[in-house]
Amino acid sequence: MIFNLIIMLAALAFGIFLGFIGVLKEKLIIYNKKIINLTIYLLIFLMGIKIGVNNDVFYNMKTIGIDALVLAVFSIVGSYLAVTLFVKNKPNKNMFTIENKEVEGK
Amino acid sequence: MSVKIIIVLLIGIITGKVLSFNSIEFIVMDNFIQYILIFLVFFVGIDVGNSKETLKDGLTLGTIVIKLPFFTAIGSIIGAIIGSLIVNYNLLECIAVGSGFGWYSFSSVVISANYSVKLGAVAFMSNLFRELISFLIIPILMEKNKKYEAISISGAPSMDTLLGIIVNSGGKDLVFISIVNGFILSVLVTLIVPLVLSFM
Repeated sequence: MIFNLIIMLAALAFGIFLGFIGVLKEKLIIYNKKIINLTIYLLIFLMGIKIGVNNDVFYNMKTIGIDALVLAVFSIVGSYLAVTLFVKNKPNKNMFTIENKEVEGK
Repeated sequence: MSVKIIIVLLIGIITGKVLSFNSIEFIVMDNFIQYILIFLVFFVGIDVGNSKETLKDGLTLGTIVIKLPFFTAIGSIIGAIIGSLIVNYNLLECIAVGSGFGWYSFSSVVISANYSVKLGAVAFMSNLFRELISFLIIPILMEKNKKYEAISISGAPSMDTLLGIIVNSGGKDLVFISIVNGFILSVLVTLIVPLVLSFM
């Protein structure tokens, strides 16, 4: 399991490296997002099969869903509070430059 | 994207229910999933390395660019840790789910391939709920001028599926910070989820 994860991280690092130094053909870059989406669909489909086959998961969807909802709410509240407490500065001027330019242009 | 993914998942579940797999086919499928996952992560990496525009935008925004995703991540994980006291999953399992930061397709597949299908299903639903709840709350937060909080609760989808509602309800000036926030969180998901799983 750990071996798989190390290979995954290596694949990620290798991808970032190739993307960053820009040796890849433009076509691949253009289709990159499509490849990612299609791969995700395929993986989600296969995960669906695994869920359908697994009776423990399939027949406990309700409790799984409730636990998932609890974790979602706690994560949302957690990130909300962390940002409220520690990120105090208001949107700075830089963020408005583009909009201002547009207004000035008119 | 969200609706399509849910439909694909449902088709998969029905397929799994109708077809019966023997254990050998199952092992073959598990190996297959591992290879596709490595393939996926590689292409996500290319996307990250190639996103120089996003990185450049990030530099013009100042320290907020680091602070916002950082505290979003910390807050999500602390939230999941507190949540672990209530739900039927242990601390590390909850951290793995919470570190999906709303990117349900990726986190769930990694968890179900490397840990358990059950926790993968939790991650899928939990992060999907995060996206749906955010979608409903963002306009309310924007009205109260809590712009950073609105982007924060969105998590990784602030760069794509939730970008529209953020910009529509909060203003055009949030485009950059929202995209960069989602971008950094997406990279963090690909690092933190496997890292947490390696401790389990």
